[in-house]
Amino acid sequence: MASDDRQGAGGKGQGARGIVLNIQHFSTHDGPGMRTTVFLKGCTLRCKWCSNPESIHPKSELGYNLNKCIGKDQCGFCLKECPESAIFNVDSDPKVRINWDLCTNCGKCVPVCPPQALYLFGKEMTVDEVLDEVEQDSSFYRESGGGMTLSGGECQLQADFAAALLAGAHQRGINTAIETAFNVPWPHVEKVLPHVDLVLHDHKLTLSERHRKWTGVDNQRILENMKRAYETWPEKTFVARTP
Amino acid sequence: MKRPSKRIGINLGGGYVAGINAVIAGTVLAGQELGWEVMGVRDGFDGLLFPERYPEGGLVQLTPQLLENLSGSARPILGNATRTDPFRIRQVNAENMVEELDCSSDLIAKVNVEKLDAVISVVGPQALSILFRLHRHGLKTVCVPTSVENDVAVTQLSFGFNSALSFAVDMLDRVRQAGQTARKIGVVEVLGEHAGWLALQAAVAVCADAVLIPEIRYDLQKVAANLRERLQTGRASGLVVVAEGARPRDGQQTGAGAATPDSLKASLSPGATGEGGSHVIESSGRTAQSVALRLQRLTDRATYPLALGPLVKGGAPTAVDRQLGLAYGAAAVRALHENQTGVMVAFQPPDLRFVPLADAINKVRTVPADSVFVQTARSLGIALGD
Repeated sequence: MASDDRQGAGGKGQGARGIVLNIQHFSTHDGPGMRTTVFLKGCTLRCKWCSNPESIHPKSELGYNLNKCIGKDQCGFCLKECPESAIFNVDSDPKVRINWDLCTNCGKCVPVCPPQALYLFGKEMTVDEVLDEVEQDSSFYRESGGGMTLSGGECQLQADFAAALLAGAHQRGINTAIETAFNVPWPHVEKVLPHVDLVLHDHKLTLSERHRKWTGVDNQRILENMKRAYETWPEKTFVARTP
Repeated sequence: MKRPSKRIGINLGGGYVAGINAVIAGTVLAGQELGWEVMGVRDGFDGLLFPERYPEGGLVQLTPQLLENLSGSARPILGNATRTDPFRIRQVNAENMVEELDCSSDLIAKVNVEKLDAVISVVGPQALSILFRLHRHGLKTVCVPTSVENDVAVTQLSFGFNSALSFAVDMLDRVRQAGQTARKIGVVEVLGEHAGWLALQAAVAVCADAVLIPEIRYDLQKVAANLRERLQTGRASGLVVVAEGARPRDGQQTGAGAATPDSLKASLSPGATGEGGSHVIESSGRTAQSVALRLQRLTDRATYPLALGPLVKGGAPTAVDRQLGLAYGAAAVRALHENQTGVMVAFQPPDLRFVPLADAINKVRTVPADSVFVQTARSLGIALGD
């Protein structure tokens, strides 16, 4: 069985690269003050209520907004560009359709789509590229007591990249926070948490069986990690949140 | 006892469709004639991929005795998978993390371990692509098309359609009677996201007042004018049939493709969907509701929406589907006997032919503008909204 590469693009330090879903400016619900939230791709849970399903897959993936497509009569470039013949038309509608079973998320259709109906969720970025964008909002952080928040997906899944981002933010004098579900191996937590000022962690469901039913896994590891993190870094601020 | 010369498997993708037992029976009987052993794979490919889930084994030997009198029955013989996608099997790994794995190589290895020479898959238009990919990965397969919407390309008639049509016609008759009693206009939605065969043929069969299909963009003002005219002559009620993918001419979608908060999620790849892998979220019923509401405003007559949805898939098969299912099953065996794989059995009257899967995927069999059913509807005075 072939497994997905779950560690993002890899590397350590300022040159590390990761898959970033989105950088959201002026967030007010991801920690104190006005913050810039960096959403990292990849998640280890499959919550039924997921609000960012485009963040689940660890790699870049194609998205398609049918409402933006202007149709094959006026455009149709994507039909010629797709190497897998995964884009097609039906006679009843000029708008294109995606055969998701054939699509390999190569993204070759994206640049040839003038109305941007086709796009990639997830972009490979370096630590400096992310931090340069985050730092543009630093005056707002000073005024409001904000900073940078890593979210996801599960931001600790790309542990090396997340740790480099957080350490880099500290070097630039930016407050750091993460939103995590803690469902990662402990070595990931050990890499990330030393560089975090505020840990916003989910407590999705208390009963393990219900947790399995609604998120795909039981919560044993989550509770273990949570307890261990509280004990290892008593000086840090932990805030438990329910979805 | 003579050893079977070949051992083949048969599995079902998609949900239950009337006539599915007939396909299995046709396969088993034709296989027996050739001295082959036919094994049923439980729940799509799950019986092969996860045999530990089945105390009685993931494969079940199918014999003519087991299938006696079942070709016309609605009792399921084999389980079916809502979606059979070995390329994306959701599992929890040793680190307690959920991930989707490509198990296609594993599946083909298990097919070899079970000494299956080939697998006959009964699948709908979506799953054809998965079988196409599996064939490219080395699986010897023959597909039998199933679609209650009759939208599988290159085949004139998928099994299951005729039973669905008969049920829809029966329901439309009842809706009309209920409408006459309540003096309302019934708006009935049937399956058909891209192709309006079910709506159109059912509407013709009951002489509905109007039918809206995806292939013809409708102007509801025209439909309402037609209805008003009929109601002014003393008619107590009206009957409108809509396919779930019917779209208005002005481009404001009212059905499955409507711009809703769900539309972004609906446009995502299967990694972002539920375990069923559905890309269209809660689309069923929207078109009927929208059309009914707007018709009520335009005609000043009470309307009531009804979505038949997947109800049309259930029940016992009609005689047509029993014949077709048996013929499809037997033809699939014949294809393997002729050493053809990576093909789909297609009904191209008067023949059953074998067409490459590559010719069947990425296509939808839609209603042509000059279809005899469109012409008949126009001749009968059934409004198409154009």
